[in-house]
Amino acid sequence: MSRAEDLSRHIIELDESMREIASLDELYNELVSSRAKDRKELTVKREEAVFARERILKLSLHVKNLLTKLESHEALK
Amino acid sequence: MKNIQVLANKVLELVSEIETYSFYKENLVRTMERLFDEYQRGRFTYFEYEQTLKKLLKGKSKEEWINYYNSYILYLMKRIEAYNSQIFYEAYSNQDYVGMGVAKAVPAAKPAVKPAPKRVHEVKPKPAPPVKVPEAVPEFHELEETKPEAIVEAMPEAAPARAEEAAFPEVKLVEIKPSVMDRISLFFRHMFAKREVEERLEEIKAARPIPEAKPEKHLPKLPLKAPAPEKPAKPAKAVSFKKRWFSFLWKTPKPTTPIEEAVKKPVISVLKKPEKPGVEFGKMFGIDYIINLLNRRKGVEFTEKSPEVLMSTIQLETLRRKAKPEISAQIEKITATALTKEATRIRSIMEKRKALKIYQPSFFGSFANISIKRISLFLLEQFPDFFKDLYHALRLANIKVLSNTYVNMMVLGVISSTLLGLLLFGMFFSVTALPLQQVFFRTFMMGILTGLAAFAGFYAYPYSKMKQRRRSINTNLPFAINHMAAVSSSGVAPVKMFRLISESREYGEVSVEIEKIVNYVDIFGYDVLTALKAVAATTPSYHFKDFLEGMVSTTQTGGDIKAYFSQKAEEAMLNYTLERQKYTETISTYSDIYTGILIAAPLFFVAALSMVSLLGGKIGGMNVNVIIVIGTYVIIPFLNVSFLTFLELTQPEI
Repeated sequence: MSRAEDLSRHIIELDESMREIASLDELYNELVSSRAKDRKELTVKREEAVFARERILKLSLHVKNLLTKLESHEALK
Repeated sequence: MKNIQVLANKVLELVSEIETYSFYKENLVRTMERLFDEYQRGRFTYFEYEQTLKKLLKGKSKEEWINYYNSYILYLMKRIEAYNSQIFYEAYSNQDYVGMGVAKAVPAAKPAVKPAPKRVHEVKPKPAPPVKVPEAVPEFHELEETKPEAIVEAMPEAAPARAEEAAFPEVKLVEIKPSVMDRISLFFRHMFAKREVEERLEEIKAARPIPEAKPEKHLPKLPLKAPAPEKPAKPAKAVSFKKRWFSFLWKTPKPTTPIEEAVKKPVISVLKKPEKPGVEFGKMFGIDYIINLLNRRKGVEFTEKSPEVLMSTIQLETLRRKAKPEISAQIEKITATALTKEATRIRSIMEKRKALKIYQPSFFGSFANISIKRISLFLLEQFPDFFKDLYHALRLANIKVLSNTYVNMMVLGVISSTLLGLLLFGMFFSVTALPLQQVFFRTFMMGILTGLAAFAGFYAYPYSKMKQRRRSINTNLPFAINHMAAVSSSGVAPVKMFRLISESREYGEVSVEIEKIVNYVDIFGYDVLTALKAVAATTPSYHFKDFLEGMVSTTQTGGDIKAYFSQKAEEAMLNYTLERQKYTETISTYSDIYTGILIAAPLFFVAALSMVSLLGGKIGGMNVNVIIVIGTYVIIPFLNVSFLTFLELTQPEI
C-alpha cells in the first residue's frame, strides 16, 4: 500500500468514525428525551444510552489516535 | 449532547477539506510526473516543458507546493483535534441517561386516542374508532425479505413513524387488579404458553429454517431478520381459529425478550390477515367485545404493553453492524482507564482555558483609544524611536495592555492631569492674595508640572516593572534550574517539566515566564523550541534568556539536555554562592561602619554633650539639652532609616 493510499484510508476511517459519532449522538438524544413505557423498557433504553455514550467516547479517542497517526504520517512530511 | 452533532458536522467539513487538499496535492504530483514522462518521450521540447511546468507551479517550486499543502492539512487536523476533544469532553460530562424515567399513567379514556401499534389484535378498549395501522408493522415485512445491508437503507423509513408517535400525547397507564376471569386466563396462558411457543417455532422451522447470523467478532447475534414461511395457508387458519374462540383464555404469550418478539412478529403478521382499520361486524358480538364492554362499564383500565422491539435497539444494532470490523476491533481495545485519562487531560486543558484571563479592555483604555487615537498616532509618527523603547519595555514588563492603547492612555493621562492640575492649583492660588498675573502664571506652571509628572510616571512604570521582574527572575533562577535538572534527570519530557515548574508557583517571575512556554505549546500549538525562542525574546533577564537559548541550541544540535540542565544548575548555584559570599563580605564592612557611626559615635556625643550640659553653655547658639533631644529623636532615627535604605538599594539582585 502506497503512502497516499494509506493516508486516504486513514482519512476515510476518520470520516466514518465521525459519522458514527454523529449518528450515535442522535440516537442518544432520542433515547434520553423519550419516556419509557415500563421499567423493562426503561432498563433497555438506559443500557442503550450508556452503550451509545461509551461508544462515542471510544470513537472520539480512536479519532484522536488516528489524528496522531496522521500527523506523523510520512506522506505529510 | 446537542453540540456533538454540530461539532461532528464541523469535523466532517474539515475532513472533506483535507480530502480535497490531499487530492490537489496528489493531482499536482501526478500532473508533474505525467508532464515529465511526456517530455521524456519527446512530445515536448525542453522549452515547452519548462514553460508548462512554470505555468503549473505558478512561480513556486514543487517542494514549496507540497509543503504548503502538508502544512494546511496539518493545520486542519489540529482543528479537528480541538473539535474532537470538545466532543469527548461533552460526551464524558453528559450524564443525562441517569435521569431517564417511565411515563406516568393517565385516565382510561386517553389510550384510545393513540392505540399501541401491535396491541390492536389483543386489547380493544374502544372498538368503534378506526384504528390507525402503525407503520412499524409493514416495516418488519420489508425487513424479512431484505438483506442486512438493506436494513440500513430501510431505517430512515422508520423515522416518520416515530415522529408520528411523538406527536401524540404520552399514554399514561394504571395498574389494574386482575379479575377472576383474568386469573383463569393467566392460569391457562401459563399452561399453554410453552406449548404454543414450541408449536410456533416448529411451524417456523418447517416453513423455513432460521438463518444464523454470520459470526461477527464483536457484535452479538441479534436475529433482526425473521424468516417468512413460504406456505402460510394452513397454520394461518389454525391460529385464526384458536384466536377467535380461545382468545380470552389462550392469548399469545408475551415473549421474554424483545428479540424473540422480533422473530415472532413477522410470522404473526404473515399468518394472520392484516387487520383493517375500522370495526369488523363479526367481532362486534364476539367474546372480546363482551369482555371489553364489561370492563368498560366497570371502568377498568387496560394496561399498555410493549411487545415490539424498540426502534432505538434496531438503530443501535444497525449502527453496530454498519461499523467496520477493524474500527470496532480497535475501539474494543480502548479501556476505561484510557478514557478516564483522556478525560482528565481534556478537563485540565479546559479548566486552564477557563482560568486564562482574556484581555479585557478597561474603560480608561477604551476611552483613550476612542478619544486620543489621532494625537497618539501623530506622536508615534513623529517620535518613533522614543516609543519603540517604550513598546519594548512594555513587552519585557509583561504589562497586559496593548502597546498603542498604553500610549493612548499615557497621552490621555497627561492631558487630563494637566487640566486637573490647572483647575486645582487655579482654585488654590485664586484664594491667596497674589496678583492676577501671578495667579495665572503659577497655575499654568503647576499644571505643566503635573502633566510632566504624569508623563514621567507613565513612561517610567514599564521600566520599573521590568527591573522588578528581572530581579525576581535572577533571584529565583538558580533554584528553578535545579528543579528542572532534577525533573529532567528522571526522563520527563520538557513540556511536562515546564508544566510542573509553572504549576509550583514557587519561583516568582520564573514561574510566570515558564507558564508562557506551556501556554504557547498547549494553547497556541507551538512546538517547544519555538515556544522557548518566543519567551527568550521577551524575558527581561539576560541569565534566563541565555539559559533558554542554550536549551534551544542544545536540542537543535542533538546535545544531551539532561547534561545541559545539570551543568547549568551547577553554574547557577556556584554563581549564587559566590554572589552571596561577596554580598556577605560587603555587609560585614557596612556592619563595621554602622557600629562606628550609628552606635559608638552617638554614644560618645551623648556622653560628651551631657558633660557639657553640666558645665552649662551653648553650642552654635543652641542649648545643649535641645541638641541632645534633637540628636536622639531626629538625627539618630533618620540615620538608621537612611542606612537601611542604603542597604536595600545596594543589595545585589541574587
